Amino acid sequence: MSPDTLGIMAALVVSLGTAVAGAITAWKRAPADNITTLQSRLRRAERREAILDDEVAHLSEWRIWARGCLRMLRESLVANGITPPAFPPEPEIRAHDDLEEATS
Amino acid sequence: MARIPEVVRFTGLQLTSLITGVMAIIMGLVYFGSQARATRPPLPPGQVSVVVAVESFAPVWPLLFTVMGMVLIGAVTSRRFVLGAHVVAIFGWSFYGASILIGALLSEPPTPIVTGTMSLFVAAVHFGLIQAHQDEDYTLCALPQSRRATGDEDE
Repeated sequence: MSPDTLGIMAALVVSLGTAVAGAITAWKRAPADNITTLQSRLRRAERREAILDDEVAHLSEWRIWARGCLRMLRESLVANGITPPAFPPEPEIRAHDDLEEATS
Repeated sequence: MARIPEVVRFTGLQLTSLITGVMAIIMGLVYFGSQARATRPPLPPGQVSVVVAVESFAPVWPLLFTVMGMVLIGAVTSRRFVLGAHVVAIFGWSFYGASILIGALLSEPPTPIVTGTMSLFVAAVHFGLIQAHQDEDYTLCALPQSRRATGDEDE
């Protein structure tokens, strides 16, 4: 194998490796850091009560939005002749309960 | 004061991604343009340049940088596939940087590595931008629809 070919192969391995590492870390970061970021913001908000109410209001809106998505999915199932499962009880769709507990 | 149209209203992070896209296009069009290749001196015996070897197949570098920049600008302005565009940028910059550095390692005597080192760090900046976009996007998800469009936050 000539030095040129060896160099090209090595450069490709390095670049593909870093690109894949970038994609994997971005994918893994998403859910965990989302919660962490919001939790830290809420902790800061605890120290600034003026913002606290506003933050909680955002989370409530987020939950309303999530519930709307679930309802839309159920309606699309019905439209396709599929019986949707029973509507999940409240605790199962409280995605950000841990955040609210952090503020209480 | 006149409101800026939403399509050109970017957060700081989006603007940074946009600038990196413009930088890549400038790299593709100017630095690796026909003049740079025409004035490149011939390699002395024993010297290996992976950058030149790659370019012997096709104008890989101008194409790579131009496409990379267009993908980044397209992704940021359309607000879609931004993470994927940065992954492409990581590949492009680290391929270029690794080509220079590995070519330097294989050369006798070793050739300058400044540009290669810079390129690898530009790839690292794109790596960081991916993580930052993840944080910003998920933070914005928690905002109400009316404020999500503008990216306004209380902090």
